[in-house]
Formats: sequence, C-alpha cells, structure tokens
Amino acid sequence: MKRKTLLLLTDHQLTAWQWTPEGCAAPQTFSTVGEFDTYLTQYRHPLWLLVDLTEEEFHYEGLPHINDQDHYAAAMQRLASHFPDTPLRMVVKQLKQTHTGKDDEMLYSALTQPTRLTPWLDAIEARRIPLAGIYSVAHLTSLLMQGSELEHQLLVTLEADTGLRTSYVYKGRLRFSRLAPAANLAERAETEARQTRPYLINRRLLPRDQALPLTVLCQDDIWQELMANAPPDPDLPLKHLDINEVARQLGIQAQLQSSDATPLFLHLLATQPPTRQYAPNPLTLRFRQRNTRRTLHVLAILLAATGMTWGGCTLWQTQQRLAEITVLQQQAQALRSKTTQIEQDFGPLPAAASDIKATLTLLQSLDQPPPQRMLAGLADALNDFPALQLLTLDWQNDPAHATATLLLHVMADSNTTEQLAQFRQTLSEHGYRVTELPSDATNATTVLQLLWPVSR
Amino acid sequence: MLGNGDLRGSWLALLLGLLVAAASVLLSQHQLQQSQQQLHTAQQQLSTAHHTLATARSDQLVLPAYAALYRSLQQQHVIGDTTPNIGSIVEPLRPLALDLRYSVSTSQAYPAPSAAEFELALHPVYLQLELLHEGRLLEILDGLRTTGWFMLERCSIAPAATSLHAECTGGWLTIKHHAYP
Repeated sequence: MKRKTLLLLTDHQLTAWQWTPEGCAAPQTFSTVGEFDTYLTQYRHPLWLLVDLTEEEFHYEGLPHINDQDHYAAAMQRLASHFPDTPLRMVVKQLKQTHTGKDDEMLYSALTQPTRLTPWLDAIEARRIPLAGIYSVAHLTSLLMQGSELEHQLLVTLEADTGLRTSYVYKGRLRFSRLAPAANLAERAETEARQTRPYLINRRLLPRDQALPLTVLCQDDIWQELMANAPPDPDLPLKHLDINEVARQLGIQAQLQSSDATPLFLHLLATQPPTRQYAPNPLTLRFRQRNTRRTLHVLAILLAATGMTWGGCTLWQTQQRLAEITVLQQQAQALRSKTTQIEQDFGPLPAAASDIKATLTLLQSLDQPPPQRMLAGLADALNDFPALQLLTLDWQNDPAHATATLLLHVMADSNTTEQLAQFRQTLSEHGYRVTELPSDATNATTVLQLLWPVSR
Repeated sequence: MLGNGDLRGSWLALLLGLLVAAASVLLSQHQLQQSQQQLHTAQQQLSTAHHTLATARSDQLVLPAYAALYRSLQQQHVIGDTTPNIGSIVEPLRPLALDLRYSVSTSQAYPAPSAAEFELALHPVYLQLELLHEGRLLEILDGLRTTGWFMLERCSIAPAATSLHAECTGGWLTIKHHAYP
C-alpha cells in the first residue's frame, strides 16, 4: 500500500498526514468535524488512526496457560470485566509460557472515553473510507525499546501536541503508560519518573528495591540540560536515547529538529503497525474487505497470468513439435522420391514388385526335390545286396510334413534274414529312417518304410 | 465475517481468472496432444519411408532376375488364370516308355499355408507306364518338370514279366493373385 492517510488524535485536536514511502507530507489539523469531512472528500486513501490520549488505561496480569480456544474466551471475559464501558479495548498476549504451572503474560488496555472518537469515526464511516485500525502511541513505545538489554526501564518521550508520555517496559514489553500535559522535557522527565515509580511498586509491576533506569528519548542538547539539572539518583539512573539515532535506525531519512517523538510514532504506524489495535471488527470491516478484494484481484491476475504463461509455454512446445514434424515430413518425402526413382529404374514389371516376390516365394516353398535325390541312396544300397529281391517300390510325397516316404516290399525267407538286417543298417547309414511294417507272413514279404525329409 | 455482497465482484474476478487459466491450460494441452499425435504419425511415416527405400534398394539387386523368372512362369502358364496343355507336355515323353497311358482329371483347389492372397489350382494327371528300367521313370519325371510347375504326389514301381510297371499321380500347379483377376 503506497499511500496512506495517518491521523493523530490527541486530547486537543485531530491532525492528518498524507504518507508515502518517501515520508509524510505537511500536516493538516482539523478544528471541526466539518473540516475533516471536507478533507475526506479529497483524500480517500485508507486511514490509520493513532491516538495519544490521557484516557487510556492499562492492566497487566497473568492468565493460566490453557488451550487456545478456552484461553481466548477467558481473555475476552477478563477484558470485558476490566473495561465494561468501552468498546475500544484490547488484550495483548505478550508472552506465551512454555512451562506448565506458569501463566501467560497478558496486557489489557482500553480507551476509557470512547465518545472522544465518535464524531471522527462517524465522519469516516459516512464517507465510507476504509479504517485500518485505532492504534495507541503507548503500545508503539515498546517498539522503540526493542534490543534494549535492561530488564526494567522507564521510557520518557515528548509528543509536541500532547505532552510527556512515561512508559514502563519490562524486558521490552509494555506494562504501563501514562500521559501528562507538559512541554519541557528537561524539566518534567525526572519528576514524572519519580511519580510513576511508587505506582509501579504498589501495582507490583516493579520490585520494591529494584532500580528503575530512566531512558529519555531526546536531542543531545536537551540531554545535556537534563544532566545538568538532575542530581544523581541510584534508584532512577538516567540514560540517553538519541532521537536522531533511533530515527536513523527506523529508516527515517530526514534529520529531526526537535525532541518531538511524533514523527517516530507516525513512521512506526505507517511501516510496522502492531497486530492488535482498539477498533472492533465492524469499524475495520471496510478495510478488511478492501484487502480481501485486492488479494482476490491479485490472485485472479496471478492465476490468469500463470495459466497464460503455462499455455504460452505449451504452445511454444507445440510450435517446436510442428517444426519437427515439418522436418520429418520433408525427410520422408525425400526418401519417397529416392524410392520412386529406384522403382522407375526397374523398368516395366509384369506385376508389382511385392507381388512378384510373394508369388515366387510361395512357389519356392511348394517346390519338391526330384525323387532321384531320395532314390540315389536306395539304389546304392540295393547294389550292395543283389540277393535281395525288390517286389514293389512305392514313393509318396507328404508336402504337409516336408517328408517323402518309400515303401519297399522285399522278398523275405530264411536265407535273407541276415541280409535284410544288414540292408536295414546300410539304409540307415545312407540317412533313411527305416521302419519295418507288419506284413502278411504267408506272402513271405518284408515291408520296409523309409522316411526321407524332403528338405535334404 | 466479511460482507459477501461487497466481495461479489472480486469473487467473480477470481472465477474469471480461474476460467482464463483453465482455458489457457486446457486449450494449449489439447494443441500439444494433437501435435504429439501428428509427430508420432510423421515418425511412423518416416520409418515406413526408410523401410520402403531399403526394400527398393534390396529389390534393385534381385528384381531383374525375379521379373525374368516371373515372365517365364507366365509364359509357361503357371501364373495366371490358365490351364496347362497337359497333352503337349506328356506326348513328347512317350518314346521314353514301352507304353504310356495317362488320364487328366478336373482341376482342384490346392491348399497351401500363407497363401490367402493367391488362388492355387492343381491340374491332376494319372500315368501308367511300362518301362524298360527304373532310369526311364526318372527321365520321364524330369520331362514332366520341364514345363510348368509339376508336382509329383506318388509313384509305385513293380517288376512285371518283361518290364517295370509304374503308376504315378501328380499334377501341374497354377497360381493366380487375387489382385490380378
């Protein structure tokens, strides 16, 4: 959020600044609600309302460490019981205990005169300007003490339009704060501190014998004046917090001309607003809706952008594919051209090349070797056994099993038994598979079956 | 609870953003898928073209011889819708036998595996021969094989009084491609 309207409400007046990251513009102070209303017609940016009022009360106590839901209900109950008459109240859980038997540290605070804000809030609501929250200068003071090594300390700050604020900080956590009308820091700082210390002891916020360092946020010249006027006090040792050094650490570019801490608080409000503030939910609804709207719009834009980026990348991939396809198609066309050229070189063919090859392949698979191949070995064997009388020779081709079968009907008697056996042996040696088939004994014939694979 | 009425426009904007994102993603994914399929097809076509070229180069070496053999078989009436002249094949072999008798049967379909695109027919012949010796049978069988595609089925030889008696069955195969009726 680049431009904000910062409002500071004091006991005396309401002042507005237009804030940008470069800093605050000149303030505009409003004497009447009408002037403020006119201002709101011109500047409709979200509002951050900072209050610096005397009617702000604080109550510190522990709350037993229980589960989150019950803890919240108990804290709300305590808050309502401490400040029943104002809706502008809040509780801050300053420390969540991790050890059993110890209480959580809770700071309850409220603006006890809510009617002081009513006219201004009504004007804001009438103009439908989003209100971010109602923040307290007291709660911002603890941000100035972050990083301090002191356990107990009082911080005194001067706000030009309101007075002197004295805040008690324990281990960097605000415990108490009060505002006193005063303009002279050097004169009033120690006095306010002396008045505050007994109160803290009575409220048991500070051990009785505990020294309470007084840290004064101011320019160097004011510090020198303070040191010259204040006698040393071991219960209230003085410490200097250079306002320009703090401003530099916060990131404020301009050099501060006085000890007025208002610019620091405005800068903290604009850049590090606390999570907790006094405005109840109905007052900040419009602001939260605005944020939700912006979030939804940003989400919508991100989704659309992501989708379109994804789509763009995918389309780029698609283009790459298409380029690849074009190359492949060109390559395929080149190959087809070469094929066509080769086929043209064949000259006229009696049929398609594939059909020619298929036809010849089929015929070759059906081809039979001539019987001579099978009979050659038989003829040689018969020559070795002239005594054997061949009655019949049957040759049968079996293309389904790639074999041929010879059936030999041979005259057999007692004289040829041994010769038949030798004849069978000789046939086997020539590569035939010889089987003697059953025959009619009365015919005196031996039937030999010879198998010969056609592929041999 | 945030007032939903004031956020209605923002929710619509979010919905619109979601729709735009979804449409972009879905459309582009669809395009990518299509291009992927086209790429696959192009790769297959290239592979086919490679294969066809390789086949053509291979054919370049053998096809002239194959084509000559094919023409020869066409001239011998092995290929095509034709019936061989069995008499002109058998008669010249008569001098090789003491006696030669033959009979021709009606052609029949010849079953062969892996021949779905072809129509094979066998033109059967039955031979009865009286031969001087078995060598003449082999010469006659060789003579039958010189013309057309002769396939011998069976033969039996038995000695007779003064000669060898042989009976053989076989036939001539003709082949016709369905693409060339």
